[in-house]
Order: sequence, then structure tokens, then C-alpha cells
Amino acid sequence: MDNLKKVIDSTLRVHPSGSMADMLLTETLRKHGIQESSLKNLSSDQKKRINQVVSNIQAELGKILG
Amino acid sequence: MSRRNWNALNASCSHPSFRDPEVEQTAKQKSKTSQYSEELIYIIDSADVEVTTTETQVALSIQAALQAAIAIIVNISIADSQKADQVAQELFQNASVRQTNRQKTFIKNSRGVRVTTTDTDIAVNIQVLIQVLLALLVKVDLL
Repeated sequence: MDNLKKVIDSTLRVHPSGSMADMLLTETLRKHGIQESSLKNLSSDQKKRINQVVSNIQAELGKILG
Repeated sequence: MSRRNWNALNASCSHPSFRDPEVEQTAKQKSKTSQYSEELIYIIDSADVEVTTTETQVALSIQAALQAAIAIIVNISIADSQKADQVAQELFQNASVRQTNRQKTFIKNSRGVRVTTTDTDIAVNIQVLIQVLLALLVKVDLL
């Protein structure tokens, strides 16, 4: 389990800008005609819900990895 | 009416799978569902053996949780739910390593052995999904 923890910790420390995942996401959004600018203008309610999802996944990872 | 067959020696003849988008989609969907991991450890006539292994089920749980989080965030962020589903599906298809992993560890007639194994495929999948999740949070201005 220690190896998995190391993989997750090291991945969380890297800023995603310019990464392959970032490019994949950019290309996928472009392909489906979604303007990235539209994602920057989410309502406060949408942002609140996303923050809740992030909190949940962080808690779940913490629980699983001990 | 006879159908012209594909000919590997004819350079002007494109392979049918490159022309038919449905074929490509089918292949992607198959790769998505072929996740399989198996780990077998045999310890025979040995003493003082320590085997540490990454628990595959735990790793799969993390993978599923990350996929669910990405799908929810994509659905919250993109108003058109059909497009949101397509984006999420495509992200998972492209961000997942095809997993057919078999690990067998044999320890026989040994003493004082320490073995550590990791299901690398799943670890890589988790790594990529975390990167996608972080990239998504940057796109929605939350990181």
C-alpha cells in the first residue's frame, strides 16, 4: 500500500498545467465544441457542488489509504 | 453483388477499420471493459518469508471513486448533459490503461525472503485519473 500512497502523493504535488492530462482534457472539450471560457464562469452554486465532490473524494482517499 | 475485399498489398486500399467510425468506437469500448487483475503467490517449503502486495481491490476502489468524481464534476460544469456524458466517457476511454495483469510470485525452499509487489497498471491508471481531475479543477478555476 505504501507504493500506492507514494504514487498518489507525488501526483498530487505536480501542477497539471501543460501535462498530458491537461492536453487530453483540452482536446476532448474542443472536440465536443465546449468553450473553455464557459467553464471559467460557473455559478457559485456549481463551484460549491464541485468543492463538495472534491472534499468527498479527498475524504474517501484518506479513508482508503489510512 | 460481390463485395471487394481488403487487400494488404494494395496501397490505395484503406483498411476498413480506419473508415468506419463505429469500428473505432467498438474497439475503445472493449478496451474500457477489459480490466482484469490477478495475483497469485506461492510459498512452498520456506520460512521467514514476508510478502507485501498492493491490494488490487483497494486500488480499484480508488480508481472507481476518481472516475465517479470526474464524471460528476464534468456533469456539473457542462450544461448540456449529453455532451457532458460524451466528454466523461471519452476521458475515461483515453485515460485508462488496458488492464490485463497477471502476477505470479513463487518462493520455494527459501528463508529470510522479502518481496514487495505492486499492480503497476492500476497505479498508473490512478495516476492519470488524478492528473485529469486536477486539470479539470484548473479549467473550472478551482485550483
